[in-house]
This record gives sequence, structure tokens and C-alpha cells, in this order.
Amino acid sequence: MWFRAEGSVGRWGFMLHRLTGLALSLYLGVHLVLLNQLRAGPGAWDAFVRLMRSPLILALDALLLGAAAFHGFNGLRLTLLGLGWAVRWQKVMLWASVVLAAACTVWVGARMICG
Amino acid sequence: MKAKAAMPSGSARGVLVWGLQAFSGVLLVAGIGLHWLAQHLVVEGGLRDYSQVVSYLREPLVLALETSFLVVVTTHALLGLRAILMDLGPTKRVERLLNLGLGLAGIGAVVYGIELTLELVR
Amino acid sequence: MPDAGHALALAAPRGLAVSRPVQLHIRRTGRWADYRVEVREGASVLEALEEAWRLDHSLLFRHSCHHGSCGTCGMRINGREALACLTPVAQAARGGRPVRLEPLRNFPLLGDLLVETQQVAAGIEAVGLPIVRDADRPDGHPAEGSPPEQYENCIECGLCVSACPVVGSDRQFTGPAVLAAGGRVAEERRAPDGLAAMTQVSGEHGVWRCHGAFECSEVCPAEVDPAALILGLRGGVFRRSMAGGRK
Repeated sequence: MWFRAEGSVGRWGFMLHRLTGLALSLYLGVHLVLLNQLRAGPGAWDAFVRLMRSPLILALDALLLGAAAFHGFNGLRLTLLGLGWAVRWQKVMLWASVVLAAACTVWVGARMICG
Repeated sequence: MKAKAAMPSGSARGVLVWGLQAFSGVLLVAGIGLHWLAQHLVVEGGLRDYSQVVSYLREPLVLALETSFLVVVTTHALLGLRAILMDLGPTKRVERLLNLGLGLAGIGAVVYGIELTLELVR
Repeated sequence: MPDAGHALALAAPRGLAVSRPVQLHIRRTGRWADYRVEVREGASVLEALEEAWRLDHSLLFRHSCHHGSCGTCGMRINGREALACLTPVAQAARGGRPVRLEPLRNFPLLGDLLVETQQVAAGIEAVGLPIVRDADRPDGHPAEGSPPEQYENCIECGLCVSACPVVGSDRQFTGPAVLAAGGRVAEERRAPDGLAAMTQVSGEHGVWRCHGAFECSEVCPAEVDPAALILGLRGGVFRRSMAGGRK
């Protein structure tokens, strides 16, 4: 199986890309289903929005954005690599994706929780 | 005129699938950023209430962008799931079923999203 | 006959005054077995394995050149693919820990540490390295260190195949060794168009199943950098397709 807790940083990057992709796909499905609340009218939707403003949900949202940031930046890296470009820089790009994603998570988390 | 070189057989589908995945992914780096900013940074409190959602979706440009975003993100997500499942080495028959199932799921998601939006903005 | 839980402490290396003890924890067919042997300072894991074989002739493993050019002693040492002849015992047994030895993954197991790697050689042969006649060489030999030159170092050890996370899940995947050979063929400018002939590397279970984990390059003992060759091959196939098949 592709998921094993071992290997080089490249393997971990590959596994993290897959895991964030799966998490984001799951979120997409849940998000589309939850939007159905809009059909129930303003009362139901506004109550739902109040629930989504809880600190736990906001913290999860920040983690989700971090996952999306890593998946996106690493995806750009994989696009370049898939074209055979910048292969010698692959480790640098991978670490850059991790750092940028962590920075996004912290920035968004602070913004969401502190208002 | 440059000579026309033969393409190795079997590569056409690989090129198409990967190309679509990469292209949709690049679009999404900007798309998700814009979508997130529009939903969480523009309004007071970071989440749109019902009236704000409806007035937002009534803008023609917004409607076009959000619909396009839905198509692109659904395509990218389902191609990603397909890549993971293809790594399990399915038979040709299972692969065809996979392509059909994921295709229908994608069409369903987009139709659902458009139908919901149209109902809200009516 | 040693079995799991019983470590034999015998067999000092012959004719050497300075030796070090090392414990080997070996994955045998269906069980683990421990051996405690003594080897010279500076010995390789392969030498320690040979000492273990002197205690137990039923132990199966492959070895030949003892200097990293034949690729036959590939195995997993402490969970990582490596050539046993190039891995110092001092490194593998750092801190006095037992050295864990397992067979390569993703190959048919013949017994103990012995796997069948013939598919690698067969696959590389099928890709078809070009024969270039002197009369057909307009631009001379490839530059030193270029991808075609690097690939010439491949010793077909199979470490890359064992380390690849995709081979582990997709049995139809061509694998990094054969794909790297394909990359070599595609880079060869002195021969007729090799890319078009490589049907087995270009399909969905060929080059498109590589997801850039780079494990193959991490474990390659010959510095072939198969990942670079594979991604170069992919880029070449993609660009050629976008150019409408024109060279």
C-alpha cells in the first residue's frame, strides 16, 4: 500500500499530498451537502452560520485551509516536476510548500479566532 | 515544416488525464484563494448570512465565477480520487465502471450546485 | 539450527585480532531469526551475513562482487533499501542495536532474503536500448553527467522497485527501473526516435503512475537518479503531445 510511516521526505510529501487531497475531497462533499441548508430559508441558514462561528469549527477551518495551501503549493511543484522542469529543486520546493502552508494556517487561524 | 513524430501508443489518455488534473489544479490555486477571500474576508464576521448569500449570487459575474469554480474543483477532486483508485491496478472492466461512476458523481454535483443556486436567486 | 528467540554467539572472524560483535535480526521465510556474530572493524553487513551463514547454511541470500557493482545483495537494512556490501556494520548497528534484515519488497519471494528480480532485467531489455552506428553520430558522445551517461551506471539491483510506493499498490505499474531505462532511450539523440517505440512505458500504468515520491532516487546506490529520468520522460511525452506529435 502507498501509505507507510517510513521513507524519505519525498515519500512523506507524496503521502501528505494524497491525505490532504482525500480530506479536501471529503470536505467538498460535506460542504455541498451543508449548502442545502440554504433551501430551508434565512432562519435555518443563519442558525447554521452561528454554529459555524464556534472556536472549534474555526480552528478546523484554519487546518483545512492549511491542508488546501499545502496541497495547492505542492500541486504546483508536482506540475513543474511532471513537465520535467526544476527536478533538482524538488526537495527545496517541497519544504517551501510545507513552510508556506504552516504560515497560512497560523495566519488564518489567528485571524479567524481573534476576529 | 517539422517532421511529425509518432506518439507512443497508450499515452494519449495519460496525457489528457494528467493535463486536465494539472490545469485544473493551477486554476484552483487562484480559485480557492479568491473563493475563500470572497466568503470570509469581505463580509463582517467572516461568514455570509442568508441575505448576503443571495445578494452575492445575484451578481452575474459572481454566478459565472462560482459555477466555473464548482466545475473545476469537482473535476480536480474526482480526477484525484481516480488517480488513487487507479494505483490499485484495477482490471479494464473495473476501470470503466470507475470512470462511469466518477463521471456521474461529477455531473451530479455540478447539476446540484447549479440547481441550488438558481433556486436561491429566483 | 537457530530460530526466533535464540541468538547464536559463535564464529569469530578468522585470522583477525580486532573484531566487533553484531546481532542480526533476519526475516526468514515465515519467521524471524537472530544471529550473533563477530566481524572485523570496518566490515560490511554482507560480511556479517556471511558469518551468519557459516553458522546456518540454510540461510538464503545472494551475493557476488562485494563492491557495489553487481547489485545482487540488495535487501532492506533497518527498514531501508540498500546494498549489503556497501553498508558498514558500524552504521547499521549504531548504538549496539540489532541489524534488521528483510528481503526487498515487490518481488516474488524465493526464500529468506532471496527474491526474484529477473523482471527488472527483462523489462529493461524490452525497452530496447538503441544500437548507434558510428556513421549515425552527428553530435558525438553525450556530455559527462548528462542523463544518458548517468543511466549507464544502473546495476539493475531492484532497490528502486522495492522502495517505490506505487509498485506496492499497483502490480501493473511498469516500475522505476524500467521507466528510467525508458527515459534513457528517450534522451538518446543519436538514434532513431526511441520514444515512439516505448509502448510499455507510456500507458496509464507506465509513466503516468509515477507520483514523484522520489524514493527510487533516494535508495539508488549507483546515483542514476531514476526519478529525474522518469519525470524527464513524462515531460517529453506531454510536450510532444501538446506539439501535435511533432519532434
